[in-house]
Amino acid sequence: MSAAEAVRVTAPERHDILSWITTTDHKRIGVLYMATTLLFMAVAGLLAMAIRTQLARPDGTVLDSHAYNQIFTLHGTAMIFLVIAPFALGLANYVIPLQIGAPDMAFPRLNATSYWMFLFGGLVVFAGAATNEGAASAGWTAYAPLSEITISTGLGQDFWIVGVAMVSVASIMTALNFVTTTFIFRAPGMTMWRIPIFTWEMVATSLLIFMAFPSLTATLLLLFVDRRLGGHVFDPAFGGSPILYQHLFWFFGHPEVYVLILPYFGVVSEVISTFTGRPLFGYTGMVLSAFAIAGLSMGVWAHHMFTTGAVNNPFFSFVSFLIAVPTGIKFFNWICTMWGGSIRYTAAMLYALGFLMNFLLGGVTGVMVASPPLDFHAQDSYFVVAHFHYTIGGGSFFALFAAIYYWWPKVFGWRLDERLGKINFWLTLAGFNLTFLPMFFMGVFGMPRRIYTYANAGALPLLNAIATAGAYLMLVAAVAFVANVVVSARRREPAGDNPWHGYTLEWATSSPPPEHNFHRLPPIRSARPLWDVEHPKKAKAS
Amino acid sequence: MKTGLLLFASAALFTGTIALVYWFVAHEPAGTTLLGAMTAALTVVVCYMVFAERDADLYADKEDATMAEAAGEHVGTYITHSPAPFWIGVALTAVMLGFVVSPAAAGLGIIALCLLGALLIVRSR
Repeated sequence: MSAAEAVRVTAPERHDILSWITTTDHKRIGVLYMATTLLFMAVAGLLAMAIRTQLARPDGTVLDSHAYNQIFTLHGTAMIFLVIAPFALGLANYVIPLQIGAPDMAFPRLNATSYWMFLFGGLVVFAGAATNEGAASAGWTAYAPLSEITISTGLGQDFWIVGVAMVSVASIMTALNFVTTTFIFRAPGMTMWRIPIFTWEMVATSLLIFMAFPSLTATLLLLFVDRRLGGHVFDPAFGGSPILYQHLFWFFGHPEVYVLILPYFGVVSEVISTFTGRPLFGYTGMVLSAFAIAGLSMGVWAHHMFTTGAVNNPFFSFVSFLIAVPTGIKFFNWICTMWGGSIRYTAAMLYALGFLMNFLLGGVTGVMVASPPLDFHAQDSYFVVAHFHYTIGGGSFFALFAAIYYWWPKVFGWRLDERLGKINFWLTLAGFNLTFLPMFFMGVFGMPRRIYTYANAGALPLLNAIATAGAYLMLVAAVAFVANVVVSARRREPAGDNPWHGYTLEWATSSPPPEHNFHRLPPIRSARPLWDVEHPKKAKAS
Repeated sequence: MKTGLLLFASAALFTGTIALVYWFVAHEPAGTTLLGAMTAALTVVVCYMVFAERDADLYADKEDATMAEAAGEHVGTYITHSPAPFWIGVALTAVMLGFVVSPAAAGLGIIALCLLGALLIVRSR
């Protein structure tokens, strides 16, 4: 008995607001997730503009130090907890059941509950800004003792703890849904070694969430106990240990980096395969490398603590270097997939190529800071800011837009304008590199991160001015994207069921899909069932 | 299911190995405890899959299964709407914020959750 056979549609689909609030349909929840994360992204992006405006000139006076601290804390928190990772969860919500031929998620109500907890958690984080002393200001890492009640005295930090804890629990529930759905709800014939690579990457991501996020939730609980219930877990004056906070936080924090990137590896794999018209090179290697990355990422947390002198640097350095191997396998396979293929340079493909270039730079500089002697120089400098943004901004952010351009026609039934999409891409690429490339040099020249002003000395004013100009260029790119959505929405050019000639199952159903996804599924005899249908003789021969 | 089992078993083996190596290399209790707890949790999943799911027989795992073969009795209907998730979200937010700003809010949240539970019990009868 398959899950698909258990479904009977009993009522016509509703489209009023109440139907969206009460929906348990994975596709609508996916859309809600993605729309919410894009709104959070807009807010976080505007906060970044405030940061860059403040730093455009030495001794800037746009923001005072307290406002600056709040803004970079909210920017980091929003981008990490409320944008990059949840967008992937929303996308997976939409795509996974379609890719494996399932009618919905395994636990639809739990799925909807996860979304509402995520939304309210995010709003609670921002609501902290309305308290007396403003929002949290201890950074997205909320290091103790900086985040303890003795230093961060306002309610904003408590709102931050509560909000992030809710988002953390929501993520765990969503991961549970993904793994159960993928293991149990696959269509007949969709063996584990036939599921599309994006779904595999989400399984690896979900495992990471299982292993890492409980540590975050526990850390936040302990911090709350310290702040509100008189605890001293992280208070050295009473025998507590700030180093313990760092261990607990980074045990979550570094795997979180891979929670932020693994789904987008899946996106890029799907996009490159489709737009080169070739099956993904080294499918098995891609799957195994995803799990190798996930496994190794659980053993590298203290490379964020090299300079504390309290951790075993050689161990963490060695394991950190090891992660470059499976990541290199992925790059090799992406290049081999494109090699000799007839590449179509659509907006989605351009974003995937942008991802490859930017993420490579982020990855290489990651190997550099995985070396303790180099890390001692780069620690807490703008070099690390640049490295991190090349990884998550240049990597995940670019792949996020690749995903938007790639799956938009499936979700809405009409496609985004390609010309405007390409303008959007080139502006984003130029703006991104103008913003973050100078930051490597700022770090080398000794500019510390998280400072709200700096001296008028050396090359720093010029580099900061260039970075700010780049940020404004990215703002223009964002406007181009919004314009694209508006123009395309007016035009509503029908996309058809399979506009890109994709071969995974989501392209076998209508655009947008019906409430329970498929009226009829094709036979599944390989990882590319639609290709088998189009080429029956070749499929049979292979 | 074999692939799933292999996945969790290899993850448990890997984290267990890392935990042991880490302890002997670093002698650091916090990280060792975290890795050990993770290994234990993964082992529980492996045990569940070995003992509770050993008879699982999915059509999805059969390479040449067809939709017709998988067809069977009608075992239920997917719900497409439920007010419970939104209600739970609002109530839990009230409870969590109650810890910070006002115990009354936490109380209201708990009452809201109880009402929902009662409603669901009544509707299920």
